[in-house]
Amino acid sequence: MAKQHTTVVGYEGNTQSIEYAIPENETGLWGANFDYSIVGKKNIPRLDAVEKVTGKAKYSYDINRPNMLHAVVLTCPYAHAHFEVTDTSEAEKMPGVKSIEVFDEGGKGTARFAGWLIAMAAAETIQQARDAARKIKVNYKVLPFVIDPDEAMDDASPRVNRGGNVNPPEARARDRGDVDQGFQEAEVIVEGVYTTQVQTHSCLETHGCVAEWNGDEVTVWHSTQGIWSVAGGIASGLKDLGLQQNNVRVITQYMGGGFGSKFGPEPFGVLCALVAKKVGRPVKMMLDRYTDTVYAGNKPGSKMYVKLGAKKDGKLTAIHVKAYNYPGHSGGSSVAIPFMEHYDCENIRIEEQNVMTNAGASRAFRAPGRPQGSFGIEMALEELAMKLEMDSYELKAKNVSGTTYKAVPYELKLGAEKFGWKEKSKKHGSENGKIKHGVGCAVTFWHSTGQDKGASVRCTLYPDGSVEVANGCQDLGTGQRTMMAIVAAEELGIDVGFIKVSIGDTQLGLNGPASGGSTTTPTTSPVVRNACYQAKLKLYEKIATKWKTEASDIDCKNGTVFSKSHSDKKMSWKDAAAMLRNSAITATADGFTKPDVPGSNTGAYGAQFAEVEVDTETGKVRCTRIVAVQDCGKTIAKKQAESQICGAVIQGVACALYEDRIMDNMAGRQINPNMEEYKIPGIKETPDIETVIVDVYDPVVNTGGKGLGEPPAIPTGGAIGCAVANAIGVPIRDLPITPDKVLAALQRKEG
Amino acid sequence: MDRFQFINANSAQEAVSLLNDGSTKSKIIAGGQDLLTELKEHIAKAEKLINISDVQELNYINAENGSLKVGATTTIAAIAANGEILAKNRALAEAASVVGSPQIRNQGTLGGNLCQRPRCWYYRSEAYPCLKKGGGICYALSGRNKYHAIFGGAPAYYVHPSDCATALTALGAIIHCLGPDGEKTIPSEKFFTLPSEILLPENVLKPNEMITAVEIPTHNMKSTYIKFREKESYDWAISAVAAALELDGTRCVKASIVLGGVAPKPWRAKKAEDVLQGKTITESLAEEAGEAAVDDATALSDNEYKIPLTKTLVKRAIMKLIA
Repeated sequence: MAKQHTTVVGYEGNTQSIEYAIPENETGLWGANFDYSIVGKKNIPRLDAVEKVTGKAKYSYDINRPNMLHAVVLTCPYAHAHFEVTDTSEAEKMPGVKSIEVFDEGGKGTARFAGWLIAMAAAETIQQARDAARKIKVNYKVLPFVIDPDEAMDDASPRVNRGGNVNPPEARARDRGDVDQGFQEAEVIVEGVYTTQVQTHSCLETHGCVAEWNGDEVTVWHSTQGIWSVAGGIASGLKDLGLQQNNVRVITQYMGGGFGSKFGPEPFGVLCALVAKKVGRPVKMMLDRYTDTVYAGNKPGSKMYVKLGAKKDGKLTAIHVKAYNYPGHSGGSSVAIPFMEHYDCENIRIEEQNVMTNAGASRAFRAPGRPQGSFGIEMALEELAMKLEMDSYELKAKNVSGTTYKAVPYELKLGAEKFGWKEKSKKHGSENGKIKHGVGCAVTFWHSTGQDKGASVRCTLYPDGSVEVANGCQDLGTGQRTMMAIVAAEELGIDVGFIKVSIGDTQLGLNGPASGGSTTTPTTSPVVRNACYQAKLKLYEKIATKWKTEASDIDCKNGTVFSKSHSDKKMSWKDAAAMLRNSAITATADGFTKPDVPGSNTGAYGAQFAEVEVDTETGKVRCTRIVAVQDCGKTIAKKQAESQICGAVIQGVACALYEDRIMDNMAGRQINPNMEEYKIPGIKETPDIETVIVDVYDPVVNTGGKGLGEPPAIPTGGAIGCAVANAIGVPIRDLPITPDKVLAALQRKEG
Repeated sequence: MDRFQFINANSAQEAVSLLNDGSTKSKIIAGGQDLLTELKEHIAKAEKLINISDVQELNYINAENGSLKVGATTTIAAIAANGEILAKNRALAEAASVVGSPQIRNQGTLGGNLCQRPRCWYYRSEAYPCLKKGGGICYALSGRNKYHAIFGGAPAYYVHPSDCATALTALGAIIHCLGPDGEKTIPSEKFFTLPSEILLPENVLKPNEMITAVEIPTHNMKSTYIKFREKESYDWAISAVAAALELDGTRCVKASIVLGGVAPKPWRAKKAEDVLQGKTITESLAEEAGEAAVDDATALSDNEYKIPLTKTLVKRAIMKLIA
C-alpha cells in the first residue's frame, strides 16, 4: 500500500511544496520543512577520528596474522615484450622462501607495459621475498613499443593490442541539435587544443591484501572499495579448488584511499589466497610504491580540440569537440559530459576516440573523464571571454540555468559574493609588475545516483537503549560510519552516542554498494532510515499497548519517547528500550522505493573560484585560495562533507599545477614512479580552501542525500587554469601548468 | 636490499681503519638518507657499512673568531637552526633550511649532504645501465631531461643535488678529509668535479677516505641562498643561487656567485662575478649579472626554461643582498 505525503523541496529562494507516494513500510522524505534534531543542527565529528589518528584503526596494511608469510610481486621492466618464466629453482632455494607462483598460465605471455605482473614470491620475511623475486629467471623478447599518443595514432606505429591503436576506428559521436547551424548563428568563434596529463591515484595505502584459511573458509583483508566484488572474484578465481562464495569472507574496516582504483580482487588477491591454501599459512601482499604507481591504475590523459560559437553577448550557440583519450594499454574514457551538461547550449557535437599506448591501464579516478572535460570547456569559455573582452564570470553566469533541484546559477552567484569576484576581477593580463594575480571560476555537476536495490540494512535495538546499524558497505575514507550513525540517530530521535555502525565485512550477510560514483550515501542512507523506522515501530507497538494508543501516535525526539496526542505520556528512550527485557528488536530493510517526483534529479551541483599568483620571471604558479560552493542534496554529515570537498580540491590543485606521470621515450617506462619526482602537493602547495555547502532538498531519496566524493573534484583544475589565463593574459592549454610551460608561453607572447 | 655487515665506529680514525681493511665494498653511513635508498634500489652495492652517526667528535659547530667549522655528522637541522651560522654565513643556514623535508633534515648530516649521489631519474632506476652506473650512455641526453644540466654536462647530464655544496662553494669553504695517509684539506671549489674530469663519483674523495669537517675561513661577505623548486614542501633544486658579496655600501668589492641544480657540480658563474666586481650594484647591474651567469648555458630538449629562471634567481639574490 502506498501512502501519500507532502513535503517542501528546493533551495533558498526557490522552494515548492510537492506530493508523493511511498509504501507504508517505508518512511517519508525529510524535506525542507522537517524538524531536524541532528542533521544540519549538530556538527558531528567523524566517529572513528580518534582511532585513526592514534593508530588504533587497523588498515589492511596493518593486519599481521600469526605465522604469516610476506609476498612480493615481480613485474616486467619492458614496455612491450613476450615473456616466459624459465626457471624458479634458484628463487625457491633462497632463505625463507615458501612459494613462487606465476600470474599467467605457464608463466608466459605478452607484457603490454612496464609494470605487467609476472610472478609472486612468498617468504618468511618481506626482505626474503624481495630477494627471491629478483632470482626468478624470466626470458624476455623485447618488442617495439609506443608511448607517445600522437605517434600511436600513426598506422606505422607498433600495435599495443590486436587491432588498431585508435578505438573505435571511427569516432563515436554524441549530438544535440544542429552544430553546423549553431556555428552559422555564431558571431564569434574561438578554437583551442587542450591537453590533460595522466595522474596516478597515489593512494596513501597501496593496493594489497592478507589472506588466511581456516578449514574450507578463507578470510581476506583487502584494501578495497568493494568487499562484495572482491569476495566474488576470490571465489571464482579459486573455483577449481572447490571454493564457493559462502566460504569467502572479505573484511575492509579502514582503508587509505582508493579514488576509483580499488574495486576488484586483483590478480594478486587471488594468488595470495591460493598460496595461503597451498602453504597452509596466511599470506600478506601489499604492493610497493613503485608497482602501485605503474600497475594500479591512473586517470587517463586527454587531448581536446574545442571550438565554441557564441553571440556577441556571450550566449553559446555551438560546441564542437574532437577528443582523444589516453587510457594506456587498456580501458577508455569520455570527456563529453562537461561539454554537454555544464553550460547551456542547444547545438553540440562531441566526437571521441581512445588512443592506446604501451603504458599502465587507466582505472576510474574520482569523476572519470570529468576534470579533463571541465578543463576543456572552462578554458575555451575563458578564451571566449578574452576575445569578447568580457568578465569571465559574467559570461559563464549567462550560460547556466537552473530548476528547483538544480541550483547552479544560485551557487555561482553565491560563490562570486563569498569570493569577492567583483573586487578581484580585472581584465586579462592587465596587472603590472613581475608577480601577477588572477581569478577564475568553474561549475560542476555529477549524477550521484542511489541504487534502490543496492543495500540491505539491519537495525537492532537492544534493551539498554543501544542500537546497531549494519550494512555490507565499506568506508572508503569518506566518513561512511558517521553518516550512517547520523541518519539512524535522526530517524530514531536519539543521540549519535547510542549508535554503533557495523560495516566492511561480508560476513554481516547484508548487501552493500561498492564505494564508487558518489553513490554510497544515496544508496545506503534511505535504507538506514527504513530499517530504523521499521525497528522503532516494533518498539512503539509495545509502548502503544501500555499507553492504550496506536504506534503511529508515538514519536521520539531528543531521547524522549512521547505520545503525539497525549503530551503527558512520555518516557526516556532508555526506559522505552528497557521494555524489551531480555530480547532485542531487529528489522532489516532491503533497498528503498524512489519517490519518483517529476523534475527530481540525482545531480549534485556547485561552483568553484580560484585565486592564483604567477611569478612571471620564474614561471611559478601558486594557487592561494579556493572557494568551493557545493551541494550534495541535503547535506547529512557536514564535517565529513567539508573534508571531502577539501580533499577533492587538493587533488584538483595537484592536477592543475603539479602531478604528471612522465614516460621515458627511450625505454617506455614511467620515469617518476615515486614520491620525489611525481609531485603530489604538500602543505605548502595547499591553498586556503573555503567550503560553502548549499542544501538543495531534492525528493530523490527519503534522506535527500546525494554523494559528494566526485562533484567537487571536477572543476578545480579548470578554475585554476582560467585564473592563470586571467593573470598573465595568455592561456596555458596543457596540464599541469608548470614553470617551464608558463615561461615558454610568456616568451611566445612577448616574441 | 642485499645483505651487508653493519659496524659502529667509535672514532673517525677507527672508521677510516675499517674502511681500509682490504674489502673494496665498504661505505661510510651516517644519516643514511641517500645511501639507504641507493641500496634499496640496487643502485649502490655495499658489503660493509661503517656507521659514524654516533661518533661524537664529528658532531659539532664551532664558530670562533669569525671562522666556522662544522663536523661531518652534524645534522642539517642543527645547521639550519644555528644563530652564529645565520649571522655570518647566511647562505649556508638558508641552504640547510630548505634541504629535503623536515624528517630528512633531522636525520641527514652535512657530510652526507655533500656526498649525495645524483637524483637523475635514469641514474636512480636500476633498469637503466647509464654512464653513471658503469654503462655506455647518458639516457638524459636524448631522453627526458626537464630537471637536467644546462652547464658542464658532457658526457653525463645529471645535476649536483646538494644545497649545502652550492652555498659552501660560494662561501669559499674548505673540506677536511681523513684517509689512510692522514688528514688533508681540499677547497670546496676543487672538491666537486665534472663528469668530464671524474665520471664516478661527483668529487675527489677516494673510496677509502671520508669527510670529517667543513671549514669556512673568516670573511667579510654578506651571503644568501635562493632555491627554486616546483614543490616547496619537499623538492630538490631546479635551479639555485648562492651569492656572497663583500660590500662597501652598495659597491661590490668582491663577488662570489655559485649556481646549484644546473650543473654536475656547484657551478661558479665567473662572468656574473666579473660584471659585479668593483661596481655599484643597481637593479640593471644585477640583471646584467644574471644575463652573464647564463651566457654559456646550453639547453637540452626539455630544460630551456632553466636559463631564464636561473637568470632571474641570480638577479634576485644580488638585489636581496643590497636590500
